[in-house]
Amino acid sequence: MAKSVQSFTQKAGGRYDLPLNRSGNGRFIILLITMMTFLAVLAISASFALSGVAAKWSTGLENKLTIEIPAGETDVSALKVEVKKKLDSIDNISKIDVMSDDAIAALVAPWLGADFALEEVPMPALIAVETKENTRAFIDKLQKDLSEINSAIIVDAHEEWLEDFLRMIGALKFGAMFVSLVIAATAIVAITGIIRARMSEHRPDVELLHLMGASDAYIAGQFQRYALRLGLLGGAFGLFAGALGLAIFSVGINAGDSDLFPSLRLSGLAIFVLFCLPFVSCALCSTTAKITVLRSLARMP
Amino acid sequence: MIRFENIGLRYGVGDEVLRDINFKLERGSFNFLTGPSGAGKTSLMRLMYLGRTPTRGLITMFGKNINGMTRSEIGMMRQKIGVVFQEFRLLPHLSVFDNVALPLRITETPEKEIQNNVNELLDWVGLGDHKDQLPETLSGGQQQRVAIARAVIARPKLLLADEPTGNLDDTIGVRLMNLLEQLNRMGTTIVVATHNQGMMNQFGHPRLILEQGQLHVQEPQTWIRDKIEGVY
Ligand SMILES: Nc1ncnc2c1ncn2[C@@H]1O[C@H](COP(=O)(O)OP(=O)(O)OP(=O)(O)O)[C@@H](O)[C@H]1O
Ligand SMILES: [Mg+2]
Repeated sequence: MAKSVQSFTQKAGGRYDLPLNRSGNGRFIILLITMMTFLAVLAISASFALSGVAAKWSTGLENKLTIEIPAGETDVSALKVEVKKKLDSIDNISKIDVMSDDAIAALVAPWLGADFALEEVPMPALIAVETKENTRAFIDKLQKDLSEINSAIIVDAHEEWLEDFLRMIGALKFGAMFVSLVIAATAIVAITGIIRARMSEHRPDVELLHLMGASDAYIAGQFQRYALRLGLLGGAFGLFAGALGLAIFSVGINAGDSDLFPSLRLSGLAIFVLFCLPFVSCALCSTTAKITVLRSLARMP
Repeated sequence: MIRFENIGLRYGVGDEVLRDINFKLERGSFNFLTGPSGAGKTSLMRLMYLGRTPTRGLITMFGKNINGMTRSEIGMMRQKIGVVFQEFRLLPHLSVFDNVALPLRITETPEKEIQNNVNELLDWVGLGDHKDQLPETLSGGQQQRVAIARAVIARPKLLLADEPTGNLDDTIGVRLMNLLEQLNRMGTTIVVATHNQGMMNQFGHPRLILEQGQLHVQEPQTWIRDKIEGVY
């Protein structure tokens, strides 16, 4: 494998004036990048999966409101008529469904027992409403309008608890992305250190090239090619290991047939992003190497 | 070609190893640089190949004040200078061929041209059969020839050779001096640092003599006169 990559880079005009490709700890660095890519695969997949969860939970609920007229001393049925009239006059409301007492009885039955007499219990009224557009401002306005009819009326936007849930998912997603960034930053630090070590290891040779008039770009190119190779190998191995890990993980999750978590099926975009990882790793390694080398060359006379 | 005015050089905080150096080398000239060990020959060469900047004074090379040059201009100028280092400084992991090819690769010469020129030169210095060997498998004299080949392969405008014949027997030494003469006739300015009196006598070129960090120039005629008068 390493052999074929070496011949590939040589064919591509890559020739090392410095024995970078023969250094002993190249394999260690590839392992390091493999592990980092593996973690990045997990973090990024988690981030995409959480987006999936959030999307699943926010569709279908969004445009629905429930208006509750609590049971109490007021005349619920009279209020029901008045509220309905008010709702009819609002443009943004596309559907009004006043729940029948039977439906409400069925809803509360689990708490009261099936054999209670409807007349004996004060029953609330529930009106399900579908809106064209469900903005926070609209809900607030509606609540205000209905409160004018009776202050006990409650507009339940369903989203209240969902919002908390989605906020938590958002935080997790942010966490996953942040972890990816930390991984990238760690990789940059590690590669900078490695390239510095390589530079000082080969300092006399680097100096010689410099004295022969080799341009900074020429010298940096040697290290860049080396870093690129490490990044490509580490990135590819890491992606492979990550894919394997995900496969095992998703078999475990999907077996549970849970509704809460959507099956860990990644979107096309997610898969594309994951496949870009080895290239991201290459670019990161190569750019870091370039900057590191140019900075130490700048200190040579 | 090269002009040094009031040059001084010190390493770190020590005394100046070169003091008040003034000289001028004409384009196309051939010069010996001599003096006792530790006199500062290698240090003077280091200044000439832009490996160090002087602590004081003004250096003009190829008609340019080196102080005002940008990094890339310095790089370009270095490409015009061939150096045979006293300690060779071959890259240990590169074959003889690749070591000699290095200056051409740096200037991105086409590979075909590299093959032709390097092979021809290696044959010429008698290393045609050792192309693929690593430097450490060569004798001192063979390594020295690799170093010389590397210094001249890119046809430098200025060639600086620090004791280039130190490890060579007289036959090969003279042969290499002839190579340098040939390069010189093609327009290369040459400075050879050496202790070898016999060689300096054989090739009557001007001498730069360093003694305790100070330089004086001796034209061949004066040198012959001195010799006749028994100074040497
Ligand atoms: N890199 C360096 N750092 C500190 N001092 C140095 C360095 N190089 C040379 N010197 C000192 O500068 C002085 C001149 O050394 P240089 O190597 O130039 O002499 P040289 O004439 O080439 O001697 P030789 O004939 O033995 O090669 C010496 O005293 C040496 O100790
Ligand atoms: Mg010396």
